[in-house]
Amino acid sequence: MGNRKTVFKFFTIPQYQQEENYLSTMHENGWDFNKVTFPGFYHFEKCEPKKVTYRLDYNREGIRNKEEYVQMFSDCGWEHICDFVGYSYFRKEGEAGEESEEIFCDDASRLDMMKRVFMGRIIPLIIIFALVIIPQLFINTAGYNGGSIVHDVFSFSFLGLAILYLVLFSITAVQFYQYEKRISGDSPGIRLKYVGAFAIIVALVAGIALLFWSQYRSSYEVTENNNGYVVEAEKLNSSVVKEYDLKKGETIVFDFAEFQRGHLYLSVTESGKEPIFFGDFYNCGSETVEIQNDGHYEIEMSGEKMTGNVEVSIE
Amino acid sequence: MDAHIKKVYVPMTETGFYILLCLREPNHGYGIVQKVKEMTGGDIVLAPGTMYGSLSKMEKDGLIRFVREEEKRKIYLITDLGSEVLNLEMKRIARLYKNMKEMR
Repeated sequence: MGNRKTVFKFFTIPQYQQEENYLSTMHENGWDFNKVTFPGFYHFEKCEPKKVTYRLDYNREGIRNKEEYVQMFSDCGWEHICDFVGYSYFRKEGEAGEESEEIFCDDASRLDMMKRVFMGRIIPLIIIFALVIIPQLFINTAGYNGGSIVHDVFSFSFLGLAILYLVLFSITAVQFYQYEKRISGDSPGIRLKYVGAFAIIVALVAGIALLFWSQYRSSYEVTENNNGYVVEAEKLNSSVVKEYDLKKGETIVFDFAEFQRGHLYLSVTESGKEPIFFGDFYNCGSETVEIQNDGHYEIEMSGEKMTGNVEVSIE
Repeated sequence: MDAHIKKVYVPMTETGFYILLCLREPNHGYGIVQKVKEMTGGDIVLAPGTMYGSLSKMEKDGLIRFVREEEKRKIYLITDLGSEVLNLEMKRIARLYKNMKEMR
């Protein structure tokens, strides 16, 4: 086994205590923590197993005035290891639990650190979420009418991102609530604050679900007449298949002059054979298909966010 | 004294109180830690994260001011506003102490 190893580990923003415990456990198993690099690679070096307490502070002002900041910690017996995305990593030999093995000695300053984490890390995420992810979700989903794979990929990637962010916000809210409750006691004010935060998260989830549901549901009507049928679609996201016995010389006319938006796919297939006609349409138009052989034919019409009327007549 | 200062510093945390008490003379963070340890017979050991956060917060709020730097340690001194807050707090604690004695 080598003398160095790198482990990828993911801790969400408020999970600094789990991170501290992880680093202590590693040291107890003979792995000395060297540094952490983006996006979460922990670098270790082999060492004598030892009980070492690791602590994380979040203080950007400290990082800006690093010499003086690190001096204060080292005066108090804490070794500075590295800084990573606003967090500073410190350690001290000995087991955690004793008063002198903490970098914070009162709850007010513990809460202050959480507030700095919130301002420095969570607020920027909320801004990205509100100004980039939500608008992109609308542009790629509601404002777009189907047809392009690229768009669908974007649409679902942003949906994925939105879900990821909301999960992260929920975890953060739960953790902050637990910390704050432990530190300053449960009070109606605190509960109200977090119930409010959760109401916003739930409303966002519902809003996004509604957005996708309204874009990907189908709502259409098929009316048969004596020589064909009409599909009137408010939104067609599925396929309509009709079967007819047709004779040589007959023609199928697709008329989509009242096609409004979206993506329409048409095909005509004789049973058990290759399609004799197929095509993708994004605009108004009409198509005529002449039948060459007598037989049983399937006419398929499928849409992706398609809105408009399509008339199919057999002449 | 404005409402913000009153809300944040009255009543004060033990850490905050000892910082103001010690900074009636120029001192740096670790100096305060040592002095408090001495005063309390080793019972109160102020931690560096708390100390750093409190000092920068108090400096921002104008309770203490930066005097000079010595060997990478910032030396601070209490301001008039800081003294005002400290006096309020001393009165509160004196009353607390007096009442405690009477009720005993």
